[in-house]
Amino acid sequence: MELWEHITTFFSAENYTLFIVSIGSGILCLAAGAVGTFTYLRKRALIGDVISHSVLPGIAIAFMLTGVKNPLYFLLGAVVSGLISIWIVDYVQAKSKLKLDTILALTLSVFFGVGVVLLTKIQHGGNAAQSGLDSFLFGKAASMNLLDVKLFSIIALVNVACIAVFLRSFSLISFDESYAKGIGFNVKLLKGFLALLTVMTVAIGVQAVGVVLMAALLITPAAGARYLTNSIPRMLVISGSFGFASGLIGVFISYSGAGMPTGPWIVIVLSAFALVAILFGKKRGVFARRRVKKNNHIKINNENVLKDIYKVGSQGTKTITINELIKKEKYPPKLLISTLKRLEKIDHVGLVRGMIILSDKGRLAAREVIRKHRLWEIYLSKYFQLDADHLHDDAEGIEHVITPEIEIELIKLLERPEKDPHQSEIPY
Amino acid sequence: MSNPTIVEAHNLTVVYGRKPALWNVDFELPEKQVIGIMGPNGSGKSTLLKSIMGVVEPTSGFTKVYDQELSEVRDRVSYVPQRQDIDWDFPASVWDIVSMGRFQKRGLFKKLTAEDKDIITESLEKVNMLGFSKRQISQLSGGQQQRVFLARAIAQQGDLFLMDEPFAGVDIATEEMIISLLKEMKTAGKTLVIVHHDLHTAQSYFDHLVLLNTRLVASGPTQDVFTDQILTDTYGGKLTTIAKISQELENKEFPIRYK
Amino acid sequence: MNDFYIIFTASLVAINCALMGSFLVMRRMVMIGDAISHAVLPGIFVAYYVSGSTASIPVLIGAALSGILATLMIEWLTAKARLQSDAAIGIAYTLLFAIGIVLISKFGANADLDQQCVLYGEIEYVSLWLQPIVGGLLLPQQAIILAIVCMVLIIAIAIGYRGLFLTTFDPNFALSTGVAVTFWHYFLMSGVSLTTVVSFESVGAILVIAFLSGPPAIAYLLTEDLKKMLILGCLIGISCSIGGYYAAKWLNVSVSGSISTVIGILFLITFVITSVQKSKLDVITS
Repeated sequence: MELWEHITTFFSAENYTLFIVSIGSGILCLAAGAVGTFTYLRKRALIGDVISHSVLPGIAIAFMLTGVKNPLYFLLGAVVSGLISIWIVDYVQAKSKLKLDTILALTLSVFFGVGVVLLTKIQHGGNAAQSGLDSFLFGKAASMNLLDVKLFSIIALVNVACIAVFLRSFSLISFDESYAKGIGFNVKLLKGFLALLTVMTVAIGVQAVGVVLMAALLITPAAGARYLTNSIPRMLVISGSFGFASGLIGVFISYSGAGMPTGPWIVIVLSAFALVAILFGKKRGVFARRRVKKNNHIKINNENVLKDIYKVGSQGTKTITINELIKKEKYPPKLLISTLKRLEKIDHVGLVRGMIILSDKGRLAAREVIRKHRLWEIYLSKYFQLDADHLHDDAEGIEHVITPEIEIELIKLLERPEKDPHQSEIPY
Repeated sequence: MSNPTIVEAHNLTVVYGRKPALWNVDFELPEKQVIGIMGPNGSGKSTLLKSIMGVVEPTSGFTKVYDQELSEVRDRVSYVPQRQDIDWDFPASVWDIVSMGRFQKRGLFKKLTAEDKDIITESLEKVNMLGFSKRQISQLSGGQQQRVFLARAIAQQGDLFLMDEPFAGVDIATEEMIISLLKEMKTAGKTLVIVHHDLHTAQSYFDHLVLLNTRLVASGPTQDVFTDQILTDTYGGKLTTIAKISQELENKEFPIRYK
Repeated sequence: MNDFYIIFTASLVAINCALMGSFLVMRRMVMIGDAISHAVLPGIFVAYYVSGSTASIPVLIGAALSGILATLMIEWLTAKARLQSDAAIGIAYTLLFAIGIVLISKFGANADLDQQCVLYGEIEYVSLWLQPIVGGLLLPQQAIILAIVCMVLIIAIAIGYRGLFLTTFDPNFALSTGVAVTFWHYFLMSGVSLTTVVSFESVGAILVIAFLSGPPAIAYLLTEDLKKMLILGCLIGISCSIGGYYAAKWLNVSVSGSISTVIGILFLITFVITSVQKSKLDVITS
């Protein structure tokens, strides 16, 4: 019940400031999640890290020049120094033998170092307004006010709108830059535009999570979203929502435990979201892929058993007992029985008092496997130099993989052969 | 009469992820010949060389050199990796690179002897690079880089040379030099296995050919193998089915063999 | 004397980082150093908290454990979950760093460790923990540890130079001659982790990365010989420490930040000069 009280106070009107702060953080993280989708797709996660560290000197200089803590000035300073850092990375990479990783590490640490020098200068200067500039290191959303939130919302909105308008172009340059160039897109301009959006997002994002952890805001929700969908628009929505939810929850947790910095909590919540997606994603998730592998083995077992029953049948005897099959093919009994039960369920075989009877459906399926096996043997022996005694083993594995389309292609290529290399007939 | 076997591959399969790069490849290579390994891009040529050299582990099957495990006869095999895989801006001199050819004999911790230094000098002389021994490798042309790699392999003093695309991106002078060097080495009783991609020169360069397209298309004396039929089989579209099956294996994460 | 202690400590960090950084730069693995230097935080903190001391052995163990955890996470994400490697690194180290910061802000008051020292380090205060060594000479505790690590690294590189050189330049060739490339990878990575952890305490995460990448990169622009690059990298690191320290004292700012800035300025100068020279050479040859 205590938690419930917590939550109600959190969202009550009395706690207006907190409400503002959480909504503000949510919006920041939403924008980052959306823009970050492209950072992730373009495999520039570490560049995101560089930009986040590099906005620090810009923020400090903006403060030194104006002497006030105005988010608009911070934004301006951050954008300028972020863009300079990207330009330096690109320029040094083009003009020297240094490799990208070295340039990234160097740019990141030097910009941050300059930022720290400026911050300590401000602190020792004793300006009363300076307190709180430290929050750019780890984020302190609590100092946000309505004006900030309004500004962030505008920036986030601009970001999202630009992404919506340029969705197709951004997707294209993320997928294949040289192709985009080939069909007449101005890739350089688009990349610059995307970089500007990213830097703007980072510039507002650091206010919630701080420069060190900003990279996570860009990458983690997008990586998680990637496991849930293959479509870029959906990825954008999911990644943005991940971000928004994490922003809210992160602020809530840091509000509950007094003195906790917001940034780390937002990152932890985001990582938890991403982990869930990585594990349980419907197609790409770890468990989904494990299921696919298991299904492969089931398919292989099903088809092998069917084939063996069919072969016995075609040698004259119509039925075979389970025990005979175990003896003949040396299956582990447990595996064979579970496979047979599965085949019975899909009406491929009938089981009557230990006897196995192949149904018409089962017969067709068995013939299909045998046909694929023999076609593959012919294909191998015709086009490749392979010892005759290796043919069978090879086809034994591949017969389960050949799709109907590939089968049609093989039949066409081999001109509908009648016999396989061992002179066995091919059952069409 | 045919020469005795020097390299043997049996059922060799190399899988990256789930995708086969080499698939059930069987062949035997004769001693004291110049042997070409050819096939289209991505047909597993380099992978083949790397698995003979123990650089990649076969997923199944094996290779043997001199009818023994590679580890038993490693000092008789010299290797020239692909030049393009290397960062030639690396801070090192020509001498530094060629002396790597002696590390195997001398070990990683013992000083190189005067004999080693003589061998390095000789090797550099053989490829006409002695004058460049102090030169930084970043200042070499493509052809010179290839010569340095050859010199390093010569310094290894093997009897079997495996070379990955030694003719790729080199000038004519270097190509001619390499060819005459190969002939000289063959006369001296060495065996040379060369990954190559230029069909025009294949007949004149090689005594024996291995044609690959993930699987082995053909292996045999050049005059038997270099036929229109086999070349169409190797390079023509007939083998796209292999690529499709490989893709299927990868997409559905199917095991290549079930047992 | 305080000046000397600080410069001495910073220089030792610079030397250690230059030695390891040179190999990381050539192997394109500098960002791994970045990831490690952030990811060790939770381990270091837990070790502090549990052992209640800043003694180095427990801290080293803690750091090593969380470094290994980070490596396992990255490996799991790329191999089992098939995540692209840049994102895997990004996610793993930000998460561990975030956990570290949360732990510090929750329990930090008892453990003499605060959020900012993680980034900046506490090099200004090294002389608070002096330790007598032979002949009544006093040295900062941190410097003694760093000096021992430095000795270990120099000996390791002297013995393993050929192996590191060979496997860095051409790992395929190395494998073909039967050299255990994986061994040399872990040999180097152990050195990098050791360096990162012991340097982290004195100069903070950011300067560790600046030292790992900057001086080797400058040296690499100036020389084409790996041995010279190693030595030059050390000398550049020491010069930046001295320059950075006095600049910090003069401007009354953070020493770590100031040293990073000096490294950046020196890199910029070197980059411009070598680029101009190169383009002049290009004009002459063409």
